Amino acid sequence: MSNEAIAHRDVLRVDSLPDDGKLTVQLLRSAFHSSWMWWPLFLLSGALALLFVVAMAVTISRGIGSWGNNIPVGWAYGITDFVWWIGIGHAGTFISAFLLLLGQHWRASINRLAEAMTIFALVNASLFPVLHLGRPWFFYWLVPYPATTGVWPNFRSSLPWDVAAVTAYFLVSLMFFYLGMLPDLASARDSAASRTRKRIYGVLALGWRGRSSEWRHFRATYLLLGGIATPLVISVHSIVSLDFAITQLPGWHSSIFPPYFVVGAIFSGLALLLMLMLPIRSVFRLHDLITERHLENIAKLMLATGTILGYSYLCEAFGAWYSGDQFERFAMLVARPFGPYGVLFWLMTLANVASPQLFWWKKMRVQPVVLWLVGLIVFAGMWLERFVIIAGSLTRDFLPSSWQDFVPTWIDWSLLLGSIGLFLFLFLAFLRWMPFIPISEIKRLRYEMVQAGPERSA
Amino acid sequence: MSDSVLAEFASAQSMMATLPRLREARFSHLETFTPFDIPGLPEALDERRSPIGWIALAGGVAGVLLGYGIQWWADVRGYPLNVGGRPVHASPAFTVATVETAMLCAAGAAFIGTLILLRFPRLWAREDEVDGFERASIDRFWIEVHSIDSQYEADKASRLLKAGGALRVLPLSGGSAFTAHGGAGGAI
Amino acid sequence: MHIPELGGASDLREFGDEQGTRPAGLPRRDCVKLLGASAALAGMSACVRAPDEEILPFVRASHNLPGVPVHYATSMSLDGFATGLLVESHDGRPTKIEGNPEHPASLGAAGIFEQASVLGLYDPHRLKSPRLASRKPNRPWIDSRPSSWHKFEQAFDNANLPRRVGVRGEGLMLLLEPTASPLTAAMLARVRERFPACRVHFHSLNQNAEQSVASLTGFGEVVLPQYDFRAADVVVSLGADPLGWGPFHLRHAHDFSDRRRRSNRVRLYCAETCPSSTSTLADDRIAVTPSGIARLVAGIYDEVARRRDSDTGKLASSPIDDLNRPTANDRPTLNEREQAWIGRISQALRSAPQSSIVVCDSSQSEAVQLLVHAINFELGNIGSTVWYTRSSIIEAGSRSHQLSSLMEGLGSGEVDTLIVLNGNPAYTLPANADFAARARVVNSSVYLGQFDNETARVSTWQLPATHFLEEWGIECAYNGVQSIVQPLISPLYAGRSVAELLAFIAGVDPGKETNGTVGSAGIPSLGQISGYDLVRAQFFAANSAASRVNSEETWRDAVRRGVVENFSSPRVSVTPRQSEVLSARGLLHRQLAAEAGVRGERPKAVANEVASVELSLQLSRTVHDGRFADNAWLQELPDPITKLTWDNAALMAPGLAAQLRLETGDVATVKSEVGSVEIPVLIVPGHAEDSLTIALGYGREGAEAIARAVGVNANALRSSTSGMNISDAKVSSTGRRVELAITQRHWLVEGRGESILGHAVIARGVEGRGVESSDAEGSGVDQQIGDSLHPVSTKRKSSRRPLTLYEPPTDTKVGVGADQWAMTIDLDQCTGCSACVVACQSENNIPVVGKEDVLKGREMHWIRIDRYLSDDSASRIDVQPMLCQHCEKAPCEYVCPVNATVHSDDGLNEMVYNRCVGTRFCSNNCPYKVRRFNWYEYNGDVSEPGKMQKNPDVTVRARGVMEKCTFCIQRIRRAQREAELAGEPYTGPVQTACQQTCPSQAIVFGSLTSRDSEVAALSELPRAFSALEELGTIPRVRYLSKLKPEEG
Repeated sequence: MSNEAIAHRDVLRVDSLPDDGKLTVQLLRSAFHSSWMWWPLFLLSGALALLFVVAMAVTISRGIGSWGNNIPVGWAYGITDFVWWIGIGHAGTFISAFLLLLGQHWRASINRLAEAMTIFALVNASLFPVLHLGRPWFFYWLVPYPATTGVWPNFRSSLPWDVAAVTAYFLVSLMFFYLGMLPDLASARDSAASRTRKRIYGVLALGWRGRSSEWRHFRATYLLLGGIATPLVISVHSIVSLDFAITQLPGWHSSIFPPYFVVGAIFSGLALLLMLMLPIRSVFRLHDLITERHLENIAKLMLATGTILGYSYLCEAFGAWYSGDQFERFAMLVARPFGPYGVLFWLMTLANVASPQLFWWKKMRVQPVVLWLVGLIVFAGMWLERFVIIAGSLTRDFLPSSWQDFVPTWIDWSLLLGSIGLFLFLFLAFLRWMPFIPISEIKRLRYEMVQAGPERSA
Repeated sequence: MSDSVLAEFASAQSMMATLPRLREARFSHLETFTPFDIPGLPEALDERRSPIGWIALAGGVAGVLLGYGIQWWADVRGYPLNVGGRPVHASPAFTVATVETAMLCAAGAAFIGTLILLRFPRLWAREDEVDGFERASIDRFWIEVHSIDSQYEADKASRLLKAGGALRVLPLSGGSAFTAHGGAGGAI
Repeated sequence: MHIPELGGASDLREFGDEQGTRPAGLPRRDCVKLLGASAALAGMSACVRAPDEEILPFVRASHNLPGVPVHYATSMSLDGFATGLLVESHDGRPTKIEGNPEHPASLGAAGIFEQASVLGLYDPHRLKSPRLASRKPNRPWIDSRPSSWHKFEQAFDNANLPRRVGVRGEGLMLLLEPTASPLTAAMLARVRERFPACRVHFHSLNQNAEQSVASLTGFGEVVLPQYDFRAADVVVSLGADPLGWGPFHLRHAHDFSDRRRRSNRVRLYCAETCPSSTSTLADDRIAVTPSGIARLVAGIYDEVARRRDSDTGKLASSPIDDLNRPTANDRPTLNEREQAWIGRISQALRSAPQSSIVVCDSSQSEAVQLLVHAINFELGNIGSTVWYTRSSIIEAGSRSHQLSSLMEGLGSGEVDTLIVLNGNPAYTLPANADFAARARVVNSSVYLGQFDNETARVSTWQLPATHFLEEWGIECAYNGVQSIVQPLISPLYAGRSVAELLAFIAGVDPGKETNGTVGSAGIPSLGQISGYDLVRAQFFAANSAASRVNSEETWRDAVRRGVVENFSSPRVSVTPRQSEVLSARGLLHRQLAAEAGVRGERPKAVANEVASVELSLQLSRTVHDGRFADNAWLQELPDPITKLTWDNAALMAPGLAAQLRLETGDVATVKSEVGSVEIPVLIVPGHAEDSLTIALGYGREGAEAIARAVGVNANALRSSTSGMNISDAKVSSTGRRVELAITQRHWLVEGRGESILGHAVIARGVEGRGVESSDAEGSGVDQQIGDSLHPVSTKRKSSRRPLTLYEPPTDTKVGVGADQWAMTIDLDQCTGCSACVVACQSENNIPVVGKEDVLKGREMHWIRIDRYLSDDSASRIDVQPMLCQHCEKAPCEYVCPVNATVHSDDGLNEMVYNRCVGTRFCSNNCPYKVRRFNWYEYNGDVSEPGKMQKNPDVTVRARGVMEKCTFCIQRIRRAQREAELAGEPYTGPVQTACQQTCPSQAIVFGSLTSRDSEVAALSELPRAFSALEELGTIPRVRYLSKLKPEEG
């Protein structure tokens, strides 16, 4: 116990924390009183989300031709955005589930944020595969529903795998997220002033009272969901990567894709988490809860994942060269670095591999501004990576006669920016009305540390 | 004559300290209400393991059968097609979706199982009638000693609780405690 | 009158006749008839009307059922000569045009213009009714209001016409396109009978006046050279495109490939300014400017003649001849590259005595033309591979074909009434001719044409002309064979044919005509004149003149087969006059010397980045002289070499572009003495340095919505004196840029030649030189070199079925039983002429996407012609028709999430449109990128008449679904049904649309399992290979690799 206690001594500033009552009030403050800067942000993101809706309407009414895609570039922004968002989702589950299993207590203060991020990222991610269809209104043909036609999905294709994976991932994350929130919803119910609020949170809390029996099942189920979500998070992005790996297109056709994509996914998710966490920390003055230790750990994780990513880039290139296949070699060693999107390739390498290397220095790891900027750079860099892989490879394939570049239209851009808008819109709503810090876990953590306190001194 | 006694504690420590004393006094039908999951609580109450694991396992197995079954029926039995000269029964390909459905069903079973075991949603419980009880989810810790106990003696219980440093001890009546918080059945 | 192709139509008529007398109560059988009839008629949309006269199907159909297409023979004339066609008609709607196997110019093949003309029939921008213009002063053109044929008739009837133009017709001027149509000739004769003094002129952009004049001076009469490529071992093309252009090019391509298939000795040498389809088959090509071609001709002639002189001592001749006679020391300013080439050529020519053909660009000067005749003569080709026939073009070589006389005629001011019959002189006449101004001064100008084009806009009367699918006529092929033009549909827009209008002016009385008697007494009304009567009259008159059997049967036979029996013009034995030839040679040498002098002084590129170059104007390979500019199929058809669509451009060599710092897409200014244009540059490797090539036919300014403002009108650069080759043009950059809609932007094959174009291990003429195989399928070449190829062939056979984890499902195993469809394409035959592309487009209802979407890379062609260069030198240009390869292990299939593309039991890669949700995953995983996607509702904006062209047997695809080549599955299934009905075990022969129309028969399609299957034999040949074989997709399309050029 004591070592563990020492281990997470600096995870919480116990001494400066108010008592449970005050803590609860502080953490639920935003749920009951909006802060002045919330509305403008909310409206701004709402406007962006509206742009998203407009772009979707155009796409569905006029046709997929309103995108920049062509033959050979059948997939470009749409699928890039899909892979990007779903990747971002991964950090959430990673932090809350994976670290839960590893008994990493520092996750406590940030896992709710991470999970919310996952859910909203997945909402975006699940929109794009439908939108990119030529006939979106038939998307359900990918699902094995009892069809009178007797024609079924083709499960040799990786797209039905995606459907299964994304659905499973979304639902499991949702259950995990909601179950974990029950005790805090109960606190919200019990500390709410107005009757309506009590009602709403009451219903959401499903009647949680902190009964020993409730905790008993909660404990088991939460751990179990964590145990399921962890392999799930690995499998989902592996499957997404199979969309490319099972083809024979040079630049897609690569067996290292699954691990490579999973790492990239967590990497990009951590980036966004930083971008969200740091402002929240300073706005709500959560320095006691989200300490330098958290920043440092995330920075270290990013350093690790970013470096692994760099290694994957190398492997990709080496594999192409080592295969001796002229098409692979051209795609990876000529077209990608020096082709039409060569600039993007180098930018992406800079952003994803070079920028995290800052985190070898502790100063950098705890410097919020630096962290936020690196987060931004990686956030963009990971989008570039997906674009370079997906669209870039398609522009230069086997027959030189079919080579053709891709130019995005305003619809492509609106869908990208709009999806970011929708994400912020949902996330701000969550911040405003939901307990975004797992209050009961904080209390438990503090209790453990206080308990451990005397032993340590002794 | 009341069905049970309810005692409010200011701190987890004092509550946890009281529990063993009650058990020594052979009060075995104890129940606590706490804002967070206090380490050591299961031991203090001598709880059995939750059966959720088994429910999840069942769900997982069902998921495997369902997942692979659907794919097999659709592509092998229902509508066998020559797709790219690949074999009709492509087990490697079918595995992928099967894994996903397995995990989904396992998680779903666990989640729904929990709700059922806890009789959730349950928007009213008689403890709610006690004013100040709402702090059970904020910063107060409650112990309830149930009367269905063979050795149940209200005064003895309240004496022990007071001795344990309870802020207040109050008898709780109305409705059969057992049914009233059947959810606790698992604990008893 | 009975209408054969309309099922129960006749029954319906009976009903009409009997209406009065019909007893109450309908007998059951009649009732059934009526039901059938109404069902049949229901198939026809209201606007489809069959011609009133009897038309006869090519193959006498035992049963004419609604929904069953019927083929009719007819012919289309272009540049004056006819190509015989078979037109597929669905319930009275012509939907597709194919070649007439019995017609000498076609032999079953059809070119892009012929095939695309079916779309022109339904063009919504055609003139819909006669219009009369109200003339306003100082207006660029005059706005017209609807009128009627009746009003026109009144204006030009028996009384008015002579009053306008004088009784002898001094004030009458007719302007026609050069034509060999005997009917037009007869009608013109009648007009001359009535108005002896009238002026008749012929004009078109593709007039080849030089050729006729050359033969006039060289032979004393106007003759047409006829070539027999089946007998030629060495073909030298000097700026010409014999296999890809001209009235007889389909036949030439057919014969050439026929010969080449049989013997591996056949060699093709090309000298040209801009790469052409012919030169994609060349064993040895050289890029030279137009004047360079003249130099080469002179050089070759000298070589040949010198040899002749050395063989047989000098002929007795005049001192002038001696002066012009080639001597050892004169070299017509040839550079060493050209010298070397001539060396190789003359060696090759020597190796093939009396079995070579030398052809040259028809736009070259008379002297050059004459020398080429002489070269063929010296080589002893005349009589074997080359012979002459009297030109069947009306008044060929006479002044009426001279531009100058047309100019002065128009300028004279004596013309009261100008009647323009088809063509578009206001556009095609050179800039300084200013037809518009001259047309405006004449009292009244009548234009009979299909479109409201530039000429219509300066004419007072605009009369709708018939499309050739709407009219009766008699046309004449290049070799003189005559063919009947029969309509498939009665005029959609009240059009009249040229013959009919001429008859009206001549006052021909059709009533009398049909009785055979001749005379223009009682002037008939236009209404009385019917092309049908005129044609019959002409047919029978000609028959009796040639004292041939003159029965109704011969007529019906001619109409049915589309060819008039033994009507081809006889050979005339002429030899070029030696003295003329020599003086021509002298003249040419002096010209070249002078030009060389000029060139010597002329700086190559001036400081301010103006280069002075030779400019070669050519008719567009896709929209001809602009007459097809409103045809969306042809506008979107990529040029065989440049792959440019929806535009014309200044084609130039990389070197020149580098000098001027120009990139493809930069807009350049091109100046000639008479005018200048601003036109985007397109860099073409293999183009001659110091020269530009610009296509005519673009920059149209008529009312046709599609043609308008597409490309630049390069006629502005021509003067009435300068021909198509302008010796000195200035080109400079404007600094502006535009996007050119090019469907293939990349030229180099990037060292992937082996896996894409196959192992070119076989060299032409190495072994079995001269060995010929009479074997019908002409795998002669391959039999000869088969042994030398065992390593390759074994390698190939092993890779036919690569190692695999899985046993291939039985139904893709090749074995007797179910058909297993496959195709082979012989790259040693394909010229990239793109006829197959248009054939596919019309057979399979392939939409046009427009310039914007071509720019985005969304063209829809199911079959495309890929063009590759192995290196920058462009010494060799490869073309490869690329279509769905129908892989047995199709990568597209296993990635489709909804089973929308799957494999059929007979080995077809099937696309299920109504199952497709449009993920485009299949296209991403297709290594050949032959799948096409409906990005928008492309078929949504098909014009109402345009819809009539659609093939009812093929689904019209909706938005958001993938599509691709189906191996013409509709034809396969029809053949299978017929075999089933006939109770035969094997499906009969099936032809895909692309195969059917391929002039050089490079495409072979069939079932691998059927007995003596040609495709099975070919796909096992040593030089057969699959594109990207190493991917293990096992395509059902196999290519036969090109032979390597002969060593040494």
